[in-house]
Amino acid sequence: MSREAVEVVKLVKKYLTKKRKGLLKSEKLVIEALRGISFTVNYGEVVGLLGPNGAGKTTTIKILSTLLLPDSGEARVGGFDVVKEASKVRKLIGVMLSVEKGFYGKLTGRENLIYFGSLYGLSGAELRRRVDEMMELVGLKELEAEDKLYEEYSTGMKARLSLARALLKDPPILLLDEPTLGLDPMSARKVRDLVKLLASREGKAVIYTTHNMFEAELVCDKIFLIDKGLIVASGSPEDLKNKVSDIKTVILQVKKGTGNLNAFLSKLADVTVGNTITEELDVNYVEIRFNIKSAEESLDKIIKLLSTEGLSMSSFKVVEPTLEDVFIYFTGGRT
Amino acid sequence: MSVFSLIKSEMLLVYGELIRRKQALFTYVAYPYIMTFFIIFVGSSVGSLENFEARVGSNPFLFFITASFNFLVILGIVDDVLWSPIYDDNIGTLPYVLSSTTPWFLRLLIIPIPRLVLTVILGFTSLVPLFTYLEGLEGLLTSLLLMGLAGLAGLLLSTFAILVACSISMLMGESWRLLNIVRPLMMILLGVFYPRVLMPLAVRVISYLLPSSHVVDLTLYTLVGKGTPEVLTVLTLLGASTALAVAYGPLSYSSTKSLETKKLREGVKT
Repeated sequence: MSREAVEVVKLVKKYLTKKRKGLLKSEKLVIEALRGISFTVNYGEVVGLLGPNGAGKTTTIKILSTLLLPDSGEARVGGFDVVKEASKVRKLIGVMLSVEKGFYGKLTGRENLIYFGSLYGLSGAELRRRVDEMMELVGLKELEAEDKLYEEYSTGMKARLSLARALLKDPPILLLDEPTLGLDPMSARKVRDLVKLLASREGKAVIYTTHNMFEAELVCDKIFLIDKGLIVASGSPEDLKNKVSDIKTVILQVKKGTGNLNAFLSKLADVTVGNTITEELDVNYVEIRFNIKSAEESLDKIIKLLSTEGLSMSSFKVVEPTLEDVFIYFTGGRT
Repeated sequence: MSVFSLIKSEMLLVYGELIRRKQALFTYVAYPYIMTFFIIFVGSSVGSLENFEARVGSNPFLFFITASFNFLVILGIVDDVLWSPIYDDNIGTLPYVLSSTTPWFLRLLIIPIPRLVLTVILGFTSLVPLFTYLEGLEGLLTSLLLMGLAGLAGLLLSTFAILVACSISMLMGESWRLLNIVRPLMMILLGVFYPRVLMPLAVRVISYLLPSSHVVDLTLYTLVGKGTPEVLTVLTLLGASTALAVAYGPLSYSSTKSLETKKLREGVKT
């Protein structure tokens, strides 16, 4: 078996949508979801696709799971073309596209897995054995939820069942679209641990999309940052942080109502790199987070600016950038 | 891939949903009786039961319970096939169905089987008691024959229903409202309640193109002629029905493929 599980070359996808203009008129719009992305994923690797909403993460996952046809470019899964050899690709992939949907409400978790298992080509004793194993693996047996109706499941249980379905036919390649979205910390940890284990112990290739930087850092061996349909940065979480090593992150807390905050923020743009994030901490304090280059010179300017605008500062921290800062740096802070 | 395993799991889905929705199960059992009594109630206000029997040659209760039963069986097929892509799309199961190793066309063919089995078995709660009560042993045998014919009519409708479902979805998009148009049309065109010979020519031509309408015709012959249609008539009607069902096979396969391609081009909703 080749080491490359997934190979994507110059993949392009455009969507045609309509922009409504009143009741009767509408205008056709072309949205470029993917603008020629290329990447590879090896067996035994967890690869994260990170990006703001609309970046093209889900479009990529849909193309790889043979649920969307690309306009141009090539995508191969397990060596097979996703367009020309879709049926062969389908035998190799396990897909998790949504945490909250995708099962029949009036069937139990076990019955749902039996149903989808037979659609995936399993039958008889093998099907029952795999369903049992997966229920155990994702912890639904432990929660005594296997014979509960799906409509009575909590979000965490739904996510576990969804992962169980993706693993049911023991596929060598897993495509997981935001598998921990909306989960409680315990369930999210269970999913993350399982994904890591499947890649490291069983050699599965996993593509994992998420918004959560903390999670990406924990789970992914390699990350591709996607923005507006293009890969803007890639590498291991450490590599990505090194790419912005000359950048420092400043976290500043100022007291509200002590000066001209708006004027400060507009003048601050001269010394910052990327976007500035302002967050109200409570009724009294505002936290301002931004990235700077050439720390010494910039810090001087910032201190002077604070005093010029009459702002009272309660805390000032300069820290190494996190993956979140890398994300903000490369995507301009869009979420 | 085991077709038997697919049918078994489809049965699990249909019976699971039906048994756990008691009202739906009750409606299924009661439907032929409700329709029969409603039609006879309305009919009695404009004519008499004796007049109906004299003109049609069949007991109105037996005629309409058979028609209602046939309609229930056929409706089950039409609803299942037409509803399935919409339902799967709405509850988010469609991406997993399409990305599975089972071809969509095969699944669409298998979907109506469990409900067909169930509705035909429901003949034991509708046709069998009424026929046996009114006509004794001969009635029991007639009702069993009619159950078999209804099952055949339903089975032969599958490929046509797939073709209609895919064509409508491609042309008009998916909407449960379409079911409300197709259902009454089927009721008229199949000749379940209204014999084909009484239809205007244009409607009759469309009716001839529906595989199940010929089996329904055979049912009416059986019912009106008390189970003794000529062999040639039986063979002609069954032959026409089967030939049409087979002829729709390749068309429904290619229309399923076209719909699948359309969905993949637009992107399956997740």
